Amino acid sequence: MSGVLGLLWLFLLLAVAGWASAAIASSLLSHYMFQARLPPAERARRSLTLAAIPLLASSTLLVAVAFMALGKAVGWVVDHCVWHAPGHPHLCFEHLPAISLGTTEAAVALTILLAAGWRAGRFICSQHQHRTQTRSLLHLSPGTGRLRRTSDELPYAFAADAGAPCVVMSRGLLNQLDRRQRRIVLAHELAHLRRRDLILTTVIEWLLLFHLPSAARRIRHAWQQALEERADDLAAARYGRAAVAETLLRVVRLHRGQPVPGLAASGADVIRRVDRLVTTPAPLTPGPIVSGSIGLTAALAVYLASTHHFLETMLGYLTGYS
Amino acid sequence: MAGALSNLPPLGDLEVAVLEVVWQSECSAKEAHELIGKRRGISLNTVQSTLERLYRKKLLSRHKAGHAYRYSALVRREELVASYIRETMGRFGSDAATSLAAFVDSVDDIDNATLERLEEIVRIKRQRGASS
Repeated sequence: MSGVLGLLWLFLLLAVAGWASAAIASSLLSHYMFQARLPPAERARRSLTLAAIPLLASSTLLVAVAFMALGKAVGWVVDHCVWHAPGHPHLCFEHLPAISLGTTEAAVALTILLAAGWRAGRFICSQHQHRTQTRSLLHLSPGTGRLRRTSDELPYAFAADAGAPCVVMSRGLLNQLDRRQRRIVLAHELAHLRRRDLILTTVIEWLLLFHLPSAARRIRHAWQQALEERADDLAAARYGRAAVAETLLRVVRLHRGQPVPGLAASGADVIRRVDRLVTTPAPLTPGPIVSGSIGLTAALAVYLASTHHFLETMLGYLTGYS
Repeated sequence: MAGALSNLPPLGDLEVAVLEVVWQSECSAKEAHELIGKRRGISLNTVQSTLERLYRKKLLSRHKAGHAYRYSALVRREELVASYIRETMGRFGSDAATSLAAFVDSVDDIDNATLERLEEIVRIKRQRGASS
């Protein structure tokens, strides 16, 4: 039993080390990867990639090491170390490590697992509560098909997906926009639903649970900005960039001086959206670095797993069993 | 009537339908059932349970009239919708809302000069587009 616990402890340390390294790398990259001139689709792709890296690095490393450990146990890999002392940490399912876990190790392991569980649990609860309230709001908003209307005089519109995707527009907004502007707002929101942006946002928020807070904020903001700009482009393809920009500015004017609640501070920058629609800067051609980063992360994790003597030595120093 | 609710209860489709009846006017379970029960194919007991639930959620008040309760709304429709909007779109710490995407987010930081500059650019662009 102590051997199994010892192995689990080593795997936990590996997972945390993989996560920490990748989270720091992702955090550093997030400062440089979201230039405004990149097309929004590329920025969205980069957001998703950077968000996935810590979890991917950690899980790939674990899977690769577990594969090696299994390989040793079933004889695929004949590679038992002869240089290390008998008590040395050994990543092998046949020879379990002779590590006895003390109070400190148990406390650290419990803290890590509880912290991760707490974050995930809190996220699940808040999302459940939010979806329940969105569903209640949709019950209160009459309408047919994809468009719902609220009787609220405050001007707002949003796409919602709490089971049945739809667009909600307030009477306050509908009454103060002309027919073309209403269609532009609807086209923009429908673009979110068609591209399943809300589902992808849920995925990215799950991935951001495993990030440093500052990096999570940067990636989230880049993601939101990219989604809004992409939806603007889809509406502009039909109605023209100037018309979409004009509608955005009109809604901004309507919001000013009104107690319209906004989304969290990570929401998209409206001024950047308008600026982009009216100035149309020359787009940057994205390089291969991000598209290759997932493959690089996976390759690095597999390489590290193959250098298991090095890993075992490092784990030995970390656990005091060198 | 009560102001904005601080602790919003979830509402199902039937609960909203019953609320719509009560918002029209105070009523008993039997009267509510006459209006929506037959159309929806639900029994009087179901309507009574729904009214009871809404009362416990503090959305309705009631008083005894003879053998039956009469229910009236504690919160107006507009107030309830506004409360849900504040909850679903409002800022709640660092939790990001994933089940909706607004057309325009917070505009707190936008100054007038920037707005006017952009409006002027858009106006010129539209004029050029109209004349070409």
